[in-house]
Amino acid sequence: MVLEKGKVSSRQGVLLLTFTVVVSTAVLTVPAITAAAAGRDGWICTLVVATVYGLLTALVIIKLWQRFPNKTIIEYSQIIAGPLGKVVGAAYILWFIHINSVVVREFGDFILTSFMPETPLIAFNIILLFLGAWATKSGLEVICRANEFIFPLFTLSIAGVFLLAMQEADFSNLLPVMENGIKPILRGSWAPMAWRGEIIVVSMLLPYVDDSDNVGKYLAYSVIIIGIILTFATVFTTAVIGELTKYLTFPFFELARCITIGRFIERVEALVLVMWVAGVTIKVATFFYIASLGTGQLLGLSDYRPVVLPLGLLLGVWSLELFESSIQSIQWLTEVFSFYAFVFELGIPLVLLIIAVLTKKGGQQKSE
Amino acid sequence: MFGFINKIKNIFSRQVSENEDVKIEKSSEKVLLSSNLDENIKHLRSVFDRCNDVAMRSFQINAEEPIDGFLIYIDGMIDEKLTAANVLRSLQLNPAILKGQEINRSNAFNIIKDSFLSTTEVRIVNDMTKVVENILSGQAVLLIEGTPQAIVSSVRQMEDRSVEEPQSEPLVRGPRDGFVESLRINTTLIRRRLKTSRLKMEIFKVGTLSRTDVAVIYIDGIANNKIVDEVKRRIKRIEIDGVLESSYLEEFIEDDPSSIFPQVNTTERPDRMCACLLEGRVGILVDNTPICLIVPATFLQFLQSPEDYYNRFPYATFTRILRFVTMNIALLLPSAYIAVLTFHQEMLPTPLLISIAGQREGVPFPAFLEAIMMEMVFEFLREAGVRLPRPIGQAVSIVGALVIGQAAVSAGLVTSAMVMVVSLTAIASFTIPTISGSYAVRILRFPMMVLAASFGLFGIMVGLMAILIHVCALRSFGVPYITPLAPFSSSDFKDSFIRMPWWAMIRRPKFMGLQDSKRQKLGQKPGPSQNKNDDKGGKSGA
Amino acid sequence: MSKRFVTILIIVFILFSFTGCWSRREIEKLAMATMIGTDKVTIDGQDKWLISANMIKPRDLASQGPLGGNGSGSDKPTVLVSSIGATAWEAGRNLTARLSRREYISHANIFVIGERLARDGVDQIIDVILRSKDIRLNTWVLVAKGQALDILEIEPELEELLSQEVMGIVQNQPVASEAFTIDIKRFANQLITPGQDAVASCIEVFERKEGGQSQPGNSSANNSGQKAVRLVGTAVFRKGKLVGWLNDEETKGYLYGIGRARQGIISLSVHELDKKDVAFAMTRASSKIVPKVEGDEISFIIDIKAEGDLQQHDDTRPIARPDVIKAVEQKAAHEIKALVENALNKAQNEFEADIFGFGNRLHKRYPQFWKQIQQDWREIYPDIKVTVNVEAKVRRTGMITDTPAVN
Repeated sequence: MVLEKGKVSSRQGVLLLTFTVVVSTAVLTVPAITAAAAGRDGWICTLVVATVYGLLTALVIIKLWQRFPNKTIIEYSQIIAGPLGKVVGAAYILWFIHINSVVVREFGDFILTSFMPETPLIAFNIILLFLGAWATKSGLEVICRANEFIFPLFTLSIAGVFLLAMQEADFSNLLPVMENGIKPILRGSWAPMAWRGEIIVVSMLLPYVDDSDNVGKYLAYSVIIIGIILTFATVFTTAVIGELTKYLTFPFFELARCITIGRFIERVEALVLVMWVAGVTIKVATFFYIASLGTGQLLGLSDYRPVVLPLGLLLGVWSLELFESSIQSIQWLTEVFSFYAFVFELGIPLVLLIIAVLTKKGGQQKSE
Repeated sequence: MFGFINKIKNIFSRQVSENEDVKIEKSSEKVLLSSNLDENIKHLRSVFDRCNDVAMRSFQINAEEPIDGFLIYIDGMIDEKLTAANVLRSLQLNPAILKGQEINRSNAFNIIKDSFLSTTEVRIVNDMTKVVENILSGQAVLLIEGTPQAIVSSVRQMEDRSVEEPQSEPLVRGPRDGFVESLRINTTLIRRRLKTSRLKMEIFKVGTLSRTDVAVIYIDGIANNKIVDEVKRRIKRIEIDGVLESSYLEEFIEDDPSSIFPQVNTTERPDRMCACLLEGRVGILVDNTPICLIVPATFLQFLQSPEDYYNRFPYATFTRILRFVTMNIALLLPSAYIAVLTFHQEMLPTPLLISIAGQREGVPFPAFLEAIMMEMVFEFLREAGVRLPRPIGQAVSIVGALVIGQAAVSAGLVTSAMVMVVSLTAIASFTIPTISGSYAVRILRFPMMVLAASFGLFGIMVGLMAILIHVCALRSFGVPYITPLAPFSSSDFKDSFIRMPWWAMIRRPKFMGLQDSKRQKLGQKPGPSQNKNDDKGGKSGA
Repeated sequence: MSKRFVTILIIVFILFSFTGCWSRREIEKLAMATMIGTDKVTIDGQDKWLISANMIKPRDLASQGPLGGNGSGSDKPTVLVSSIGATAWEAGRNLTARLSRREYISHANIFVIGERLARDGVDQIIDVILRSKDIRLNTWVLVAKGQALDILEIEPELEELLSQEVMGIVQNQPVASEAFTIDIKRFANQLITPGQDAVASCIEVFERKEGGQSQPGNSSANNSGQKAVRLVGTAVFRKGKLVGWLNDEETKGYLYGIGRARQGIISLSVHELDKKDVAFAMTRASSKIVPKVEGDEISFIIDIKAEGDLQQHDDTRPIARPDVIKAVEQKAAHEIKALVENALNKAQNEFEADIFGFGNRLHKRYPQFWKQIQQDWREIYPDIKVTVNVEAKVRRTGMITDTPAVN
């Protein structure tokens, strides 16, 4: 049963959407996490290790999609693993919801800390979730279109930040490279890898993509381009802020605060903030959407829209109750999130693929 | 207390019950004409009882035996001279001119129809309904004794406004004719620009009492047939007593009536209409109003003016970008002002901050109230300006705002910075070429201000995202509302914020799903003459 | 109007009327601080923090004319407030407690640290600054000779606000290259980087001697004895504690050494040994510090390249000739080298503070070696050999060539 009647182009759904989904929160907290583990070599984690992981994940997703071109991961996990597949599907839905709550919480915390400390967190969460719910109800096409619209502004704001901060950059801060060997780099890679693997959201969207020949290409591009942009971000952050990076909670944001153009344009970080709001809204909407769609598919509903409101309430409550303080959330993100994410991003899909190959399920169709 | 709640409930759930249906007048059943002239005359007299402007003229045709005839028309809707000359005189001429023809009751009708009447158009109708309709449309109807048919001749002439420059869309460079109230003149204005038989016009009558002529116009082979069919379908299903203006239709055929954004484009200019037809859009002309509709509409159309096509492309691009910027200013400037002053004071340079803080010292209201007050005052002034004679209306509203603003500053009610903000916003909103587009922006300003006052720049962004999501979901006759921005198509982009030169816009807009998308030949970029021999003088010789 | 739409409208309406924009700060209810000073004081035998700030006094500019500094006496645009607390934050809050408006420090771009606090150690105050969301990383950090409070009291000369004055002086420094300027970001970085000791600007109060303009009819403006601030020299830290100052000559040398000199003046004696007759105005200078490790021997080479114009010549002997210019260049190089070595000497021997960042460079170039000696760096540092090579070039001689002789 087709729950989503819209169609998106592969460029919209695959390339642009994954970019916004991954980068909007990655650029916020990941540089700090990598700096804490790998010091000034954090950029290597983002550039090399995470990209490799991302490409691996992309490969698995594409292979699975080629076998089940019109099914989302929730649907084909039921085909591959039978009754166990329903459990897998439910797990995925819970994972999507969980991640979404974390994102909402993270971003709300960020705005609170940086701009409006007196506002209760619930206000931000409600607003973000409301927008996400509305976009979800409007359908996949709307989310992708809105993303396409803000994509240039979003990218420009990120690129603008590190280009404009360039005058303060001291690239010798990046030396010496790999002085402590490869181990800290590997340790610092968990987080970027987990973030890069968020492209798994695509596995829920591929059935609705119009032109299937470009999917693989675009997904790979997406991983690489995200890698490049995030690497630049990390490099510039380290170059400008130096050793302090590992102590700051939001290093890239601090970078935005250092921007001065002439003697007149200063303190413009609020403008950067608004762009991030746009990006994070899309991310929240995407996760919300795939959670609703997945629930609809799992329960065999004819329309996923009625699920949106209950899911929204769940998300709202969960995002508030998840962590007691920002310390908890940072710790969770640093230590727990990565491994939890690996399971769903690469682990389960890989297992599903292997089972599918072994039991010869799914068509051997090549992409048209 | 429960009664109160019940009342509120009733307001929401009251449906228009069957009994209260608008009494749609049932058209009279098919009453056929009878051969007996007197019966027909009696019926017509009863139908047009107490209609003083219906003129009836009995006459006699001198044939072998005098045949009675009857002419009925509406006084003021026909050309009297024409009727007298071509209809009556022809009939009263001595039939002796027709040598050898014997006219009697049986063949009188046909002979009259074929040989006598000198009007350009002659039609036969059989039933009373059509007769009545034609009379009401300004035709003259001729009834002959002995024949159960009537002759309708076109002698229509009504008082019409002469074709003049459209008031709502003036241009510096471009044609200066605009649509008028008469449908026929309007269709002529279009036809003379697109002299092709592929230009199709289909007429519908909408409105049970008004029977307004509505013309659906499109170019066959360019316009998407699905869109054309949808337009016709939506128009046909309208059941209303009267259609007085195209806006009635607009509200019936919109995709999303609850949206604040207009989904139907309007114009008073024939050249604009023709340009849209060439792009594959469908035009809807409504009798008795010069404002015509164009569907499907996209968001960017509301920022475009036909002058963009008549000026050279660098200037056109410049003005388009300018308009986009001013649209954003009109929407966001007051909110940004409130947000920055209330939440993000660090964004202002220190001297500016000190200056504004100093100005705000004497003002009792918070920035938000100040802004709302001034904006409301300006809206009042603008509305008042509409009632004033056209040339001074706009000027009065702006100048009035400034004067009142200055007085308010002196009184210590608002800051001068606020007056600046309001004036800039007003001027910016005047640059939006279409009225409906500017209304949308003007109204959206206020929720944005509320959001800005609650959450600062975050609130503004939330508002913008909400507008974006809404606009992305909006479609106008199946076309996504914000093409070509999203989904992005580079060939359509050539005519959005920028205007590429004519020789570069090779294709028609893709989003319409058109059949024939190439509009001109490639490679027509102009350049200096290639013939080198043209260069006289120069190298050779002293 | 559909039911749902009205429901949403009602909810939104309630939301907005019951909530009340929490983080709102009305601009006229802010006490804007333009400069912040921190000191340590002893009261009743206990060490306390003293936080002082220059707050802008609100004035309605529309009803008053342009601000004049002269005129009716106490028309200062700012007011100095200060308060005490056991921790820096507590002192800050005590400040808010006695003000009629909310303090607002996002516009404060000058941060002054009192001498005593600096000598006690700046790590605590840095923690406060970094944690606060309102203080930006590119706020300028200055160490006061004496108490920060005294600095904040001074009336500005050219600008309206003292903070603007200090900002201007700081931003002017590249022209004179005699004082060091740094922002919090770099300062904090220097503090935590191993192999680098921190330096900061030094600001002091000085009294203008006679010869300042006195304008008739004004009571308190620009008379002799008027105090002003100036930036001079550098504050040198060792392990986060202030250990001393570099004066302006030594700072010049230091700036050349680390490549941050821009447009200073070097006065040279070219024709005669006891008279400074040539002024060499630098237009740009750069330096490269290269560490060399041979076995266990650590040495550094500082290569400095400077170029500039001749701006003053105090002799009638010809100057605008390549061979004479060569001599000028050599003298300039010599002079710069002396300055740098002077600064080096002081840093290595007197302060034992690695303000040139030799350790850091060693770290970047020879990371494995650095790992071994990192613990002992402080002991090794005073003994390392540093060779300074300077290359100076004179590019232009201004609008005239030789000095015209006066008859």
